[in-house]
Amino acid sequence: MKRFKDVALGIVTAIGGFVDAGELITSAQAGAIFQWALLWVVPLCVVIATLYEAMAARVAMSSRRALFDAVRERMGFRLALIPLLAVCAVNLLTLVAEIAGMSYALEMATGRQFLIWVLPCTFALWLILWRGSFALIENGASTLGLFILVFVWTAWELHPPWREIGVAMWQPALHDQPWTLFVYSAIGLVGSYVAPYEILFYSSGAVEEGWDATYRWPNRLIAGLGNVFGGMVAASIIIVSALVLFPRGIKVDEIRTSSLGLVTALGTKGFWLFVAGALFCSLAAGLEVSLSATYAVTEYFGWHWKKDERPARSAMFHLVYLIFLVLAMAIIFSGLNPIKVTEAAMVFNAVALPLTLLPLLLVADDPRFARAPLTNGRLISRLGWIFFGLLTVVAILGVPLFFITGGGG
Amino acid sequence: MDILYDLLDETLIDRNGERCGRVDDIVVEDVFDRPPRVTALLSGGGTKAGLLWKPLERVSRWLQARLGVHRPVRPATIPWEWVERIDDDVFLNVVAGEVDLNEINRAVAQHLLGHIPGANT
Repeated sequence: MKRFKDVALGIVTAIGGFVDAGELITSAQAGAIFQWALLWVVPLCVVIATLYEAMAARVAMSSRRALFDAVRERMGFRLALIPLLAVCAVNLLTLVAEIAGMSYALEMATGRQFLIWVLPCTFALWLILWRGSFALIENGASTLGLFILVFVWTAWELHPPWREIGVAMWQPALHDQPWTLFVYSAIGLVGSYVAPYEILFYSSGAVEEGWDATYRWPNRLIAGLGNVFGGMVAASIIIVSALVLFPRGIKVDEIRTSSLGLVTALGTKGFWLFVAGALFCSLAAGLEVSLSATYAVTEYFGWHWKKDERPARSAMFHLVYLIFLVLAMAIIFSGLNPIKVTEAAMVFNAVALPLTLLPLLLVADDPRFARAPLTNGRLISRLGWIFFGLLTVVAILGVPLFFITGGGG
Repeated sequence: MDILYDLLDETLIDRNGERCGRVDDIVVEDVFDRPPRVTALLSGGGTKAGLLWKPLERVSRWLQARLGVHRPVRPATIPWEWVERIDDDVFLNVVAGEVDLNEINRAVAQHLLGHIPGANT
C-alpha cells in the first residue's frame, strides 16, 4: 500500500517538476510561432528525462549516494567542480524564472505590479524550505500545481486537427521563420523539459526517502508515468497556443499571454485556473530547484544534509538555499527582464545538461556506484550515451544561437 | 598507494551518522626502513581550495572566519586512530562536535541560523 502511495505521489510530483514557469513560456512561444512544428520535441524529451531520472535514482538506490556525492568521489575535487558550477549557475537562473513566474501569476490575480510580489514569494519559498517537511515540499505544491491540467482539458475541448498534427510531427514546417529561431526554440524546449535540477532533485529525493533495491519498479513507474503525464501537459500547452495564438500572430512575450488560449476557450474560469496552475507549478519548481542546487553543493563538500532534521544540525545546507534565494531576488531587482532571463535559463539548462549527464553516465556505468541488479543494462547504457551525444550537439549550438537570434527575439 | 586514491574525497561520517566533510588530504609517515603509514586525514579549512589556486585558499579561510569559524582557520586533523572502518565512506569513532570537526556547520548554526525561530526544533 505504501508503495502504491509512493508511486501515486511520485507521479504527481513528476508532473509538477515537468511543468514550470519556464515551460509555460517556452511551450506557449513554440506553439505561437511554429504551430505544431516543435511538438516532436515533447515525446523525445519524455524519453530522455525518464531514462536519466531513473538512472540517477538507481545510482542512489545502489550506493545510497545522491548524484553529486557520487560524482565528487568518482571525478575528484577539480573535475567535479565544473558540473557543480554549471548546475549552480543554471539553477540560479531557473530560480529567477520560478520566482518571477509566481510573482506574475499574483500580478494577474491582483492587478498589482509583479515587483511587489517578489519579496513575499521569495519569503514564502524560504519559509516552506525552512519549516516544511520533505514530503510537503515534494508533494504539496506539486499537487496544487495540478490546476495546470486545465491545458489538457482545453486542448481536448478545442478539437485539434490530430491528422494535421501527426503529419507536422514528421514534417515540421518553419512558417517563414528563420531556421536558427526554430533550432533555438527547440533547444529552449529541451532545457525546460529536461532541466538538470529535475535529475538532481529526483536523485537526492531517492536518498532522502531511503529508496533501496526494492524500489526498482516504483522508480520506473514514477519516472516513466510522471514524465508521460508531464509531457501531455507540455504538448497541450503547445496545441492550445497553436490553435489560439498562432492564427492571430500573437507572440508570447509575457506569462499573461500564455493564458490567452485558456481564456478564449473557457472564459474567466480559464483565467483563474491558469493563475492557480502557474502560481503553484512555479512554487513547486521553485522549491525543487532551490533544494536541487543546495543538494549539489552540500553533497559536493560532504556537509550534512537531511531535510527532516532540525536545521541547526545541517546548518550549511540551510544556508546554501538562503544564499540562492537572496541572489535570485537580487537578479530580479537588478532590473533585468525576468521573461528574457527565463528564456535564457531554459536554453542554458540545455547547455548545462551534458555537464550533468556525463558524470551521471560515468557513475552509473561504474560497478562501485551502481551494483547489480541496479547497473545500467546494455541497451540503457547505449541509449544514455547516444542521447548524451545528441544533447552535447544541442549544448554546443545553444550559445551561438542565443546571440544570433538575440535570445529568441 | 591505492588506499590513498580510495581515501581521498571520501565522505567522513561521525559516530552519530552525521556527514562531516570529506577527506581533503592525507598525512603519511614515510620512514626509510618501514613501509609508508597513514597517520592522519585532513579535512576542510581551505585545503582543496589551495590546491586549485593558492589565493583561493586565503579567500576560503577569510570566508570561513567571517562565518564564525575560530581563527586561525586551518584544516581539521583526524588521527588515524579515530577511523573505525572504511566502507563506502570513512566512518569515525568520534562525534564531530566533540573534536572540532565540521566546524563550519557548527559556526553557521551558532552565529547565523541559530537565531531564527525553529532552528533547533
